[in-house]
Amino acid sequence: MSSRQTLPVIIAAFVLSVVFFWWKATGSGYHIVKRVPGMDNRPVQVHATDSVAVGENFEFFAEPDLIAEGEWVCFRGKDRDNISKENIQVAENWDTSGPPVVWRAEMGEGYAGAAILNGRVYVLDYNERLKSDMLRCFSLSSGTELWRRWYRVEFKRNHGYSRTVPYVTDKYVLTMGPRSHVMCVDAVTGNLVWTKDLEKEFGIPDSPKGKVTPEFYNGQCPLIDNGKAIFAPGGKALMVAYELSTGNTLWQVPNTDSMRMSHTSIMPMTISGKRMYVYHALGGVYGVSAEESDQGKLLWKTNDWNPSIVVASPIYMGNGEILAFGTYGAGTAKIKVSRNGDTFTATVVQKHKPNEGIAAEQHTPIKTGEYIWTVMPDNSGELKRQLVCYHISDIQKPVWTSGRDLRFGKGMGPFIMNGNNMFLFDDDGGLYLFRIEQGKATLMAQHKVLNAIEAWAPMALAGNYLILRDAHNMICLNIGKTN
Amino acid sequence: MEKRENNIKSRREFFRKAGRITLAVPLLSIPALLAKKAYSEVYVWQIDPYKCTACGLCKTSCVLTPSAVKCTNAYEMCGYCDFCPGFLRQGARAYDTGAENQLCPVGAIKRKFVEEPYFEYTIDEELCDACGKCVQACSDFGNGSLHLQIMHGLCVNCNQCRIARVCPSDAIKRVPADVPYMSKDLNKSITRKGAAQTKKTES
Repeated sequence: MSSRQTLPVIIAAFVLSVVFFWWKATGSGYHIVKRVPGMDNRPVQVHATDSVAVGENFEFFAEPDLIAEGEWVCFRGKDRDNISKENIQVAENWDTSGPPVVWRAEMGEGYAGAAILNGRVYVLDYNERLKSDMLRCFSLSSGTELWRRWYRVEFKRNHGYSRTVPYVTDKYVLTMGPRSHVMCVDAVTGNLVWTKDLEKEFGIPDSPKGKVTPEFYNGQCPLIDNGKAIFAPGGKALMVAYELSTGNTLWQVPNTDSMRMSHTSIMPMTISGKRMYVYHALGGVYGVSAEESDQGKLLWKTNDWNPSIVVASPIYMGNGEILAFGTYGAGTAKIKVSRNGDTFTATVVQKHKPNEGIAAEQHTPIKTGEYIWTVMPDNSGELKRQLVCYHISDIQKPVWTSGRDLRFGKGMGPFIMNGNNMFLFDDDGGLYLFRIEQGKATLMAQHKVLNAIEAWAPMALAGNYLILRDAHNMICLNIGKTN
Repeated sequence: MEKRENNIKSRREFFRKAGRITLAVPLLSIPALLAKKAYSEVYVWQIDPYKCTACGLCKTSCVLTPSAVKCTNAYEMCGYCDFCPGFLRQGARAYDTGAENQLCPVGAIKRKFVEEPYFEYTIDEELCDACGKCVQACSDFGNGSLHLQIMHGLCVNCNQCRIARVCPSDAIKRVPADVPYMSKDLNKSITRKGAAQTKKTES
């Protein structure tokens, strides 16, 4: 290499070294900060060790005055489809005062809904003064409180306190509280039958994934099926079944994938001729056999759909397809469950964001025939907060929408059906009555029945009585035709 | 007699003083009023947080890099949640400050432990580039306390704001310079909900 060729290299090297030393000397460079766990100064989380005497207190007030007809036995009704099958003559028009208010009751702050059977209304309230989960039994016809059973359990308000709907049979009422305490009581007398503390029974201490109660507290509503009380606690067990009359453990499914309890509820489904319990946990979706021959057997699972927070429960679309929903913009997944002999497999076949197709932030959509109805969440673009309808063949293009001039609160209020009537309660307290025909809805009546704050609880419809609530007040409306 | 003269003197003195004050007050206040009027006639750009959809155009359309728009937190609306959707990304493996769990691409949101299960969230404005990801996530289901605002220490107050020209929701507006921010607050949110409801009922 000649000196003519080496000179530029030497000059370049010199310039570069000058720049480098200037850069080092002046300290002008990137200020790099590591983002690592622990920068929020959170101390080591200690699992709750408080001892809760579940169901310890009881107070009797009155015998029921009149046994009104109608039932709504659990979250989304007996068939878990949110459709009342009773023959109700619904008033199609309301006068200026709206549907008549039959009774009102003050509640602790929360979103717990009602279960109804044999003229009694059951609500798992939270009494803020006594710091207690409180199962309250009311007369359906008058709203008179008949009895209450409660237990002290302290926790901090975090979007209210109460969340779940009890399950009631002729004999028992089953509840699960915000901190995963289970209570089974006599449905008539309120006598305590058995209790469980799922946090204690299934929690794995010092393991973040071994926590039972999820963030914002438990929203899973209990399930009773064929004399069994069924829960999906996470921690040590994916799912557990207790004998309803005794509380004895019948079976439990080991939790090998460290899935956690979400805010959804267990949904019984029959897929490819097999009856199963489907649960959308934090960490995945799975199905457990509900048939006597192999009950408690894990049939399938998928971890390919894993939103951070899940509230709306999965629904079965038919043809082996399940819709699973996520919150905070996660969107929706379609899961295909296939059967080959005794073997089931699940595959996520479609995912979309809330602005790309059907979505549910809080309340589970309703499927009627081949149509699915939902109120779209706030993050679903032009459809936000609208009532929309999709055909099961295309879950991305709605067949009907309520339109940009008819949106509902923040899109997080409940909706319920009877026959071809749909009641929609927006989270600001407006009640709407729609007539549903195939994939179309017609607004029949509307009225602001509550000056509501966060009317997020599921509604209950039994006979002519529609029970709804906001964060603090429960009201019972007569939605039947009057002479 | 002497007492009477003294009284007259002090009365004169009183009227003289009162007259001076009566003349001086309006004369002195005129410049102040004029200055105030002139100042209030100066307008600056601001984002209406109730119209903003956090589309992300504030990040890319501002003439400044990084944008003069920054995220801000309305503390009275904030839930101080452990799972803050504005702080943690979807599918976060743990609810902590690990980079892999955070939603903000530049780590501009900081959180500080208050008590279980509550955290205080603050914004490092130097890092925030107005992408709006946290704002959208917070309003999806959360309380909607995170919102975008134009920071007047940075904004050069262009005659035609480039963000205003592209904003799809028409959220950028001119506001008086003496009330330059349109922060979210709890009362305003409730009133707006009520107004929306009234409008709906009327229709």
